[in-house]
Amino acid sequence: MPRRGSLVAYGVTRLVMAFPMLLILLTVVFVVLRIIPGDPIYALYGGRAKPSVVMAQRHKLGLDQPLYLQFANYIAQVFTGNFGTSLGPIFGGQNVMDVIMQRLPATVELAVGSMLVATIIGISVGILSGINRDRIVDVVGRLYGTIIFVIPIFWLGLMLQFVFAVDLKWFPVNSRFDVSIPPPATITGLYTIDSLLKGRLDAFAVAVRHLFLPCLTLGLVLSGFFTKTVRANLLRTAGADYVEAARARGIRRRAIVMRYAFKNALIPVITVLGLEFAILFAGAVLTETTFNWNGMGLLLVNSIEVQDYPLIQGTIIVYSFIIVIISLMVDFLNGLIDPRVRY
Amino acid sequence: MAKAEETYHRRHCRGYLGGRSRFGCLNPPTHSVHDCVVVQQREAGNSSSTVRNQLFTSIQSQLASDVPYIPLWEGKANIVYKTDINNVFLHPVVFRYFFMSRTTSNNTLVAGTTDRVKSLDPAYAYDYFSIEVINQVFDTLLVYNPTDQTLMPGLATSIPAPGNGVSSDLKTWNYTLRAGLKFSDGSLLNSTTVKNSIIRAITLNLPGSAAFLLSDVGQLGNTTSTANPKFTINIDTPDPTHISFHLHQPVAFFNLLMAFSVSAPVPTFGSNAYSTTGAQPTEQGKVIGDGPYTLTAYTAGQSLDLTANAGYYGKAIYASAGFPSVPIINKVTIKSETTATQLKNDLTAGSIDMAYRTLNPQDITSLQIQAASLGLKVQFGQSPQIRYLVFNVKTAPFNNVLLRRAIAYAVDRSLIANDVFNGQVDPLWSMIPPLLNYSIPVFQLVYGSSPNLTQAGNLLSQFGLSIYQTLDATRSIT
Repeated sequence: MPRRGSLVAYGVTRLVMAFPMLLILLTVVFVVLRIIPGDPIYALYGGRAKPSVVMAQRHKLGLDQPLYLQFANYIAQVFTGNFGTSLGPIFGGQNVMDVIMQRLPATVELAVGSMLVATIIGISVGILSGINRDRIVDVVGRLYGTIIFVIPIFWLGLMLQFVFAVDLKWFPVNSRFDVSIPPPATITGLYTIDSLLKGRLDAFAVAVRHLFLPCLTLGLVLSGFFTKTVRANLLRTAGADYVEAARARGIRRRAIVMRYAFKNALIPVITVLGLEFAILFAGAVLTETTFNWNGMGLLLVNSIEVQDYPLIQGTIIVYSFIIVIISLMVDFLNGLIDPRVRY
Repeated sequence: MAKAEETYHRRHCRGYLGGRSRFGCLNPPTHSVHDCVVVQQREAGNSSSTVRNQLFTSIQSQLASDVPYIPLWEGKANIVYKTDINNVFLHPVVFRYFFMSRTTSNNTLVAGTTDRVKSLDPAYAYDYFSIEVINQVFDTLLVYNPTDQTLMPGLATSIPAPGNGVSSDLKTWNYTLRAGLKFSDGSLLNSTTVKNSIIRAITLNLPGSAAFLLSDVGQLGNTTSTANPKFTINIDTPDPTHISFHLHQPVAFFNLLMAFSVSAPVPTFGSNAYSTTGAQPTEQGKVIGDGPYTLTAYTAGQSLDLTANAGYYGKAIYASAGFPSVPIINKVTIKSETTATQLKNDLTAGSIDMAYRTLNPQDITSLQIQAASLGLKVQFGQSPQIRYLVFNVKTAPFNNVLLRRAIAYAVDRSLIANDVFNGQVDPLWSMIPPLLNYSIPVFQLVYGSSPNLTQAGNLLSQFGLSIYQTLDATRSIT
């Protein structure tokens, strides 16, 4: 049995705690879908099917069963990896997991790009603010951190589109790839990676150009959180004894900030990374809708529009799994870096 | 007075309000204008235009009196495209890319829309955009003239008419197919293919499909079984180029049904034969038609590519209409946008060449103003698309005709047309839009051209209700 406070014990505890969290989430998804007004079969046929056909379809999908039986079937399906088949008009009859896996790479590409933007901009502004406390740079940085975090993603996305795509024409307005060029053959589903693997630099350039505005939009919004966290922690560590000692030894300011204060200021940033990823995926839904980005967020929105229960459930569950796994990884990393959190 | 009116309405409107029971396709919340056209014409089946006029006048009067629906506005079709694109026809029934040409760019076109394909199986599709794409990929026995609603021979060599391919009782319709017809995969298309395709559509009877237009409205029957001859489908194919449809009842407009997408032949033999147990999947390589274009790429909900069908039989079928060879543009890409704003942004950024369905009214006005500087053309056309209010006449409070009439008196169509749609729609006064024959502005005649709040208030007072008018001119019933 792992010793209390050990990294293994900590990891196992976090893993066990993830299960009830997932179960609660699955239950919420199930209940919410069934209490919202509307009917998936009616949405599918638009009221044009005979009642006998509607009833047969409801029976086939188990929607005529009592809710507790539907729930039991649903949980059994989820834990066997079978999310059923889509009911909607666009993906009707297709395996939900297949549809999601087709869309997942687009969201991963967007998420990675956005996190990159958020990290670079957020941490840079946070450091600049922290080391210039109460100066004009700090005031601007703090304002930036506050404002950018509350700007609606769809509004920011539209503004960036108007400026950089419609007016300046530097970047494409939306979508993952030019419609007039064939996308790279699928290997990973990530257009940037697939382009490079296939040696198509032209396609890589197109994919990056298409990624730029969506990633900038989502990344900017996320960067506000980083800015504020990094600044606050930098100020905390800048006043620490070991920094004072370094300063007393005559070490240059830049070296003190980067070698001592910043490194330690980053530890709490890792703690909030899990939360940041949750915000990232929620933001991805809006970003994908704004930029016609063919990922899971857009899939979720389209599924909700047509009340495609299996696809909605499947998408949210996959989202949940991803966030839970990332949270576990962040927790584990945190435990690794800072042993105090294991107790 | 109200009671006398009610008796009169019930006697005359039972069938109409009863939905499918009488006409087979009137399902109040969802029926399309096309259904209406078909229903109206079927009602006139084998009658003279005078009789049909009387019948439609009666039906429209009944609707104005019984008010199960309140017609609100008639949309104008609109399209915005680059000025180097020619031959863009906003046809009232079918929108086609294969007449379009370009003067300055390469022979391709990228169109944008906010619609999404639901199915490209003619036996299943019954939504505007899916049918729009089907019309590029599939041909039917008869096709529409590029600019108006007259029919032209498509797969058939001529248009049958009474005394010339149609029996005098309008129950037998004979078509002669062109020789050597082929699908885009090279498989043969003959009279048996047409027959099998129509039987497939009817017998699959996919929920939400237009199969009823063939089986019920078109009176072809709904089964291949001979156990109940009243419903048996009876189609003869004496040889590969001749096909005869035997209807259970006369249908004067059967030619129109043979020009509708649900009648389009699909491969029924060979390795690419369409599914006989369900809808054909909408995937590249599984959509095989006989039309001017073939589907060469498809990403669900995102985009599709149409490439000229090199083996198209009908390159010259529109020659008499001024198009010696179609399709003119070699490749058309249709991109589905998430929102109308994205559609406009893509158009103004030049990422797409054309926006068809559906830009925001405000964006259309803005594009009209900027059209010259952006190198765009904004075109309006007639459209039989209508919008109307539907009441559930079976449940309170709208089961009371007086309440429905009160609302009919209170509706301000001009406000809707001008303030909401920037004048891009027209007020609608009948469920039959003015574009179609026999339309009479009955709601205007009965309830007036402008809102009559006094009359509405009088009717509402019987329910203890009144009209509350706000400062911004909107009205509420309280």
